Amino acid sequence: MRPKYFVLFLLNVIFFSVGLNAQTYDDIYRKIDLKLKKDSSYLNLHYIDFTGPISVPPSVATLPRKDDDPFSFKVSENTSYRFVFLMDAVGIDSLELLYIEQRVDKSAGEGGFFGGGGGGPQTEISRDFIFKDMYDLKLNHFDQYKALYTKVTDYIKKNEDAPPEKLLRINPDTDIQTSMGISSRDNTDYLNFMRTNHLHWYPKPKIVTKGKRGAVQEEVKTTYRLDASFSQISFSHEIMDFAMGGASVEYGFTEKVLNLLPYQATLFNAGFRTLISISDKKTDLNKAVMVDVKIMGRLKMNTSKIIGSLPFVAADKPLLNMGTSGGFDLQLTRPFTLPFLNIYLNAGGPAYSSPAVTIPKGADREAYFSFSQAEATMSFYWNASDKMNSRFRMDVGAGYYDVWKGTYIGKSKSASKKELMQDNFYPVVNFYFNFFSDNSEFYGFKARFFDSQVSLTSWLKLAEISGGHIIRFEGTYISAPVARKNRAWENKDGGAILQLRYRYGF
Amino acid sequence: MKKFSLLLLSLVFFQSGFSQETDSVTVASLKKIYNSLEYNTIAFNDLKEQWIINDPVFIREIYNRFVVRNAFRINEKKVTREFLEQKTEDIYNGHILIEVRKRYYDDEIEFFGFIPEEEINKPNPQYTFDPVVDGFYLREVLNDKIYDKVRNRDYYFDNLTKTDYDVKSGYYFDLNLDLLEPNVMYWNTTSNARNKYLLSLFGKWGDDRIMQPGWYANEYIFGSKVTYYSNISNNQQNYTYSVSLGTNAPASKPFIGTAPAKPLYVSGKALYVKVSGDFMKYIDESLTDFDVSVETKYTFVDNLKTLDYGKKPAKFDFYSNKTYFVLAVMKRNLFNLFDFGQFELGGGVASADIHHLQYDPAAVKITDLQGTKSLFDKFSHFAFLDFGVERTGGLIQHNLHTLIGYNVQGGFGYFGVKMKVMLNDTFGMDIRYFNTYGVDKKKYDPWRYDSFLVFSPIIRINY
Repeated sequence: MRPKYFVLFLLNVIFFSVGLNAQTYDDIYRKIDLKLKKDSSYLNLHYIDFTGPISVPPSVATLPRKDDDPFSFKVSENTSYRFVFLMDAVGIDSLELLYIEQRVDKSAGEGGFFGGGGGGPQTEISRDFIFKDMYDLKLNHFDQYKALYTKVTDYIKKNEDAPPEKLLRINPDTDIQTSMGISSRDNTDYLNFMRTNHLHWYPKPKIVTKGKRGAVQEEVKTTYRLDASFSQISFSHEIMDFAMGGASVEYGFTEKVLNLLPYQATLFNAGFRTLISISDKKTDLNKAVMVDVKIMGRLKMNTSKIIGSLPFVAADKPLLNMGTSGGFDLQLTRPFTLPFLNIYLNAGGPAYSSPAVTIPKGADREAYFSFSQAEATMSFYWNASDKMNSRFRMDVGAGYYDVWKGTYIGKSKSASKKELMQDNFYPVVNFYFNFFSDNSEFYGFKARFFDSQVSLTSWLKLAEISGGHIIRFEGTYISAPVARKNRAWENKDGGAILQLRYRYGF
Repeated sequence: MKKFSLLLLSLVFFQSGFSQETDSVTVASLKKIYNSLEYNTIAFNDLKEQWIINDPVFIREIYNRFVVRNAFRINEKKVTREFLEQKTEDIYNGHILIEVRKRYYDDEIEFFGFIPEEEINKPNPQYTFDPVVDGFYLREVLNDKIYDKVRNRDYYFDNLTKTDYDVKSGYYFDLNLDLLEPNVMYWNTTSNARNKYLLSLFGKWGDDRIMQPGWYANEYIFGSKVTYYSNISNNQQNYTYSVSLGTNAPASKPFIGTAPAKPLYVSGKALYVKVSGDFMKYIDESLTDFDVSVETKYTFVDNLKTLDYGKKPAKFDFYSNKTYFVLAVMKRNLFNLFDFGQFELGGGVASADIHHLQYDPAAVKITDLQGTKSLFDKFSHFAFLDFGVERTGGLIQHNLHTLIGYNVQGGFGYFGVKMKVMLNDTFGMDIRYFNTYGVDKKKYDPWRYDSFLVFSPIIRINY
């Protein structure tokens, strides 16, 4: 090879390799600048805005740019500069300056056509010193880079109490996901459940919102609360708020333990309910040991006569008579760190005269009665996630009821013979599900298994009107006995009730 | 000229040596910055939405966009025409697919790599080209329309998104609703922040080892249990000891049509005691994972009066079990059986008495038809072998066991399978089937069936 060609070859090698490296740099520069420009949510970067006339050392008043004319800081009252940088990244030991953005406030000193600056603040933003320029500064003009770097780090040191702002727009702190769901260790789940499902009002913490111009507004509290459906009603007024959660009254045609629909149970209920705290923490509902107690009276009523004419009930006439009785329904929040406890007892004396429902037996008649019922359960609450959109509750325990048979000779209204048919305990399991959307109740479901019968209740919110009015559509179905034979006092088929439920002030 | 050549030669070596080192440092530094711009979500990589694009025409479309934009790189360097032509052949033949992964907190793509078919399931796959790890650059290469199509998955694809089914044990409460052996843990405490004492309500319907599977037992045992964990564990079988105390109540038989002519009834109030635990390690430290259990039922109040059985219209004979005793040992975690679960093997002995009684509405008391027999003669003895596999954790948990036993006095053998399968440790089924063999009809109890099938759905809520 002639020396001339050899020299030519070497020169080619030098320039070609330089070209190759420049190509790789440019590739990465372009990707970085593109990402910095386009990614509006995920950039884990910090920035400092230097407002007002910027003061920079004379050495960096003008900075060289890779593909453009040199950049000069404009010292002006309405021009600020945003220095964007990377800090606390894995594998990067020191702060890394990325780019500088110039922000000019166009509204300052430039009145609109009609004066006064027109349509609010107007800022002209231009990214004049991009990453490519900044990194080139670091590689080839390190003194200038260092001066900018020092300006930023000095600012951070001086303002230790106010860390630099972030460009990150996702919010990992609020988007935390848990795979196992959560169960609160205090009364939170209990209170959430009761506020959504309970017939009676539970107090809420005062919600204070800041209105326009910083005015403090409290959530409007209604003077009375009402929950009314076709089968029961509860009412309370603020003058009854003498206890922790107030007091209220209820009336209805429902039976809690037996597998009977409203109006299938031949009775009329009336109850007085109050919520009290038995712990020191009387105002902190989440921590308090609360007793939600209801004292009830029950009158026997021949609802079997009207059940056939009620369009919203699809069920056979009952075969079981209920007795006049009294009792209580008590719910206790986690005494001695035990689960939430529910105790219900209703007891009445034997009253066989004039039964509402009798079953012919030849020339005579038989009637079945239940005078006493009881139920004791433990409640467990959990949520599918920390967002508490899907809320669950399960009650596990035992229920009891007695059944007596009276035999009536001919048309006699008094029983000639009385015998106990059963007084048994059975396991009871209740499962509840509430679905919330945007912290607003939307759907509820309950399944109950007791004495080989299943009852299903489901509701759907139809409307929520401002001022605290909620209307729900609700249905309950009770099955016939499964996996055992029907008893003499049980209907062969299941039944259902459909109703609207109106809640105000809850 | 010679001198100039020498100078150039040294410049080449110096430049290529020094400059290569400097460049690689600079490129590495730039890449580090590039990879650090985003909020790091590396801990969720396996839970992010990911899939394989395997629509051949769509892959060609995407591939072509990369070619037109000259966007293929290998180790940050542009690829050669020859290499590209070679890889295009693979595209024609459908050997190259595309792996895609979305970011965790939004809908943008964070990983996009062409991958040879055979590399898909490898732990460290070799991608055909450098994967694109930036959705915004990818959008520039593909254009908005195709990028959105990739994100929206309007094409044929295989979903690879992992759902996290990791099973953990909680000690706040545990509702294990299995009709055959329910357990409701409702209270817990600790004495040294590492151990746990748990209080539970338990139920038990029948006992397989004395051939009275649930449903057929006519008796339900229930009571309270304390379980101690010396160290809290993710596997609830790793308890240290457990003591159960209970009593019995009559239970009806669901789904069973014809009852035997001489049924089995409950004839008194019984005390039930069970003690179990990993006790063998106290004999020798190497004897771990042995679950030793001793359990007994003893009827302490006999229902001797006729009225105790309610008013029945006619006289009839029936049988009753008043006392039983079971000693069982099970060695757990023997070995992993083909990833199907941990093999366990155990066995034991049991004894149960049977009383032949008669109800007569005209009589005040129940008659013992075998009054001449001594109490000891009323006992029959069982020996049994129990083995199977158990798998905990993951999406599906199972406990599949085979039980083989023999009743010496009763003159029959029995065998059966017990299957408990749970999905995500939340929903499941408990199914047990038993059959008899070598039955001596003269000795076989008339209250026994020839085969038994019992099952129960399971719901478990554990926090």
